[in-house]
Amino acid sequence: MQLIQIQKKGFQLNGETVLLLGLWLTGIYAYLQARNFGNLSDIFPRFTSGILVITTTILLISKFVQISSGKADAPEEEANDDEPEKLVYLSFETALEDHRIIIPATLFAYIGFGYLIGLMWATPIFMLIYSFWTRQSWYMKIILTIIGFAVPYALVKLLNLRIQEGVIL
Amino acid sequence: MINDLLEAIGMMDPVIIGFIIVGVLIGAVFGAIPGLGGVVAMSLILPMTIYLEGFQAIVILVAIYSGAMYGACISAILLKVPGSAAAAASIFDGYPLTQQGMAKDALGIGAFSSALGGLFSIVLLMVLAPYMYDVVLMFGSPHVFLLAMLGIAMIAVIARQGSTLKGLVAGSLGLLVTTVGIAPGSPTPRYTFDLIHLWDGLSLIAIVLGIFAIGEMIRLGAKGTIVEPGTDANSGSVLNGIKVSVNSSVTLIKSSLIGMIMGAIPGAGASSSNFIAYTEEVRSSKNPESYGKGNPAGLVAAESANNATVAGSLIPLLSFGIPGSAATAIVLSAFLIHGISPGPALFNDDVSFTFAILVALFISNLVILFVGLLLVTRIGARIVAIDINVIIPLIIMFAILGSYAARQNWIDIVTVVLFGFLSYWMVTYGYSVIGFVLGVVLGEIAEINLRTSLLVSDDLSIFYSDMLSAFLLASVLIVLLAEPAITAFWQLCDYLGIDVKERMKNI
Repeated sequence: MQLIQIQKKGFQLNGETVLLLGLWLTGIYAYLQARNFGNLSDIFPRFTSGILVITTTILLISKFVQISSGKADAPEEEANDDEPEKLVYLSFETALEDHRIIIPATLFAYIGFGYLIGLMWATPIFMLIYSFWTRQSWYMKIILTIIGFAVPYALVKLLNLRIQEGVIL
Repeated sequence: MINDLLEAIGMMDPVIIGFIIVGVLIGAVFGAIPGLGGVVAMSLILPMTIYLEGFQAIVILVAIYSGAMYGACISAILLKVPGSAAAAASIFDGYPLTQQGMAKDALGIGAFSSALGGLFSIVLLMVLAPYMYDVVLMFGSPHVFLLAMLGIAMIAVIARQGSTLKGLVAGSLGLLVTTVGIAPGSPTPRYTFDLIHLWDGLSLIAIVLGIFAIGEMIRLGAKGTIVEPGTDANSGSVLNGIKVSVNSSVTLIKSSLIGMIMGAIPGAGASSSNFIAYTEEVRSSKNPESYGKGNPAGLVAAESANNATVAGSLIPLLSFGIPGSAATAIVLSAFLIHGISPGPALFNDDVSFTFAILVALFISNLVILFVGLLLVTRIGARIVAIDINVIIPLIIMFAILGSYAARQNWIDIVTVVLFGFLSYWMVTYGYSVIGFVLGVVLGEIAEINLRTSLLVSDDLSIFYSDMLSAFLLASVLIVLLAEPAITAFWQLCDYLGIDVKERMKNI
């Protein structure tokens, strides 16, 4: 009687696989790069990247095979709980309503503008655009925009943060 | 000792009490705002303390420190955004309570546990003050390394709630992230891609804000509400929160001890202590799977530990003049500005001065109790009822500005965004964010002390040669191996068809 059984699974490329591949490559890179560090500086990076590579390798292999216990009277385990992710095609209008798209998009725009013109000016613009997109009332738009200016301004005055300048301004 | 204590209490005049109240309030507000925290508040107040007497200056700074430790849990509980890394573990059970419409309970637990954790550690410190000098001297680099290893071993414990392998992926990634930058004790730049902005490594607060703030805001936007649909955000009871905390008194005392010990170790800090206390609570519980879903004991453990850290951190500061964190470094600055020298005398000849600081800290925790239970709980529950489309941009703003405020380094803003997306991705596929953050928090401490230990001794026996290090090493091995060994044993017996329990009955 076999202690364990190994079954092949069909390979599925999904978000988790991409994540694991990315982490696996990061671990490999980190481990190889650590060879260039001398003077005891390589020990910890090798240790941590080694664990990362080993664990991600095992998880990636599990995407191809399923390992289960080999007891004869054991109930049949589910073959695969990694259902292939369904691709959902969004229309532009639907995408505009999806926070998972709009929040990252506005965030990138906020940071990009902040880098160019200074966070002190980009923040109220971000607050205004976000409140327009989420259809806030007119007074809430004003309040959020004012907060978006007041907070960075306070940080400039109290903490001497240099956020009133950007690459362009 | 009694005379010294009475003399210390006699120093508590109305002006000092006023400074304590103001300090706690300032600390709580700054602590609750993600990215700011107690250090920023203390930095702002320090120049103004030049005009005060030495004792007044130290009292207000310590009160801010204590208030900020408590304040960080407010945003952690209500919005899943820790005010500082010291409250990151409070999210795991505090936020689910809010989602279940029990924000008042959670805030009540946070205030009560913070205050009681702080009070317990202060009383203990007063009793043990004459002996603490020798205890602190016992902890060298190998011991601190093994303590960090113990914390890292807890990753495996936490990860067992889900997938162990996924937990180890997350934990090892967290550890790897801490290796970016100039290596400790060596001029070797690691993984900096020739960018000078990466020489200081990645900011812990930026990582924490990214993981919890940005990631959570994306999830919150998709979900539409903080509180579960059909749940009343204003339900719950502060009194219930107090009762729960009292019922978890063993957890509270244990976690306070952990916090105090971790606080006494320079460099360990509150961000480590609340995680260690939380993971220890999970490990020792009979229902570990209930944690992370709104188990009040988890919140009690995290909050009592981080406030107890404040008292613990005063030990190396007052004994040796060694600040263990940025906050205590600011307190040390106040000492030096006012011509007060920390050292053994503060625990011998001038022990009444030390007791006065502890009494002030004691009163700070009473103020936290009062403010937390009567004020914050009333306001806090209303916050979660606010439209999330108002909360989301505010949190994003504070996360971006807060991360930049620490070092004025644009890499920190990139860090917040990248780790925010990584967090969303990881949580979607069941990777332990707790494990990741634990790795980030403990990685630097582990590496610095490993390196120092290996420089002191080429022989690895430094990690088991004395009683303390042998005990710590044994603890690490037990945490890592005991449960898998026991599980493997039962599985083997099951496979071989041996009923161990039946055989034990027949013996």
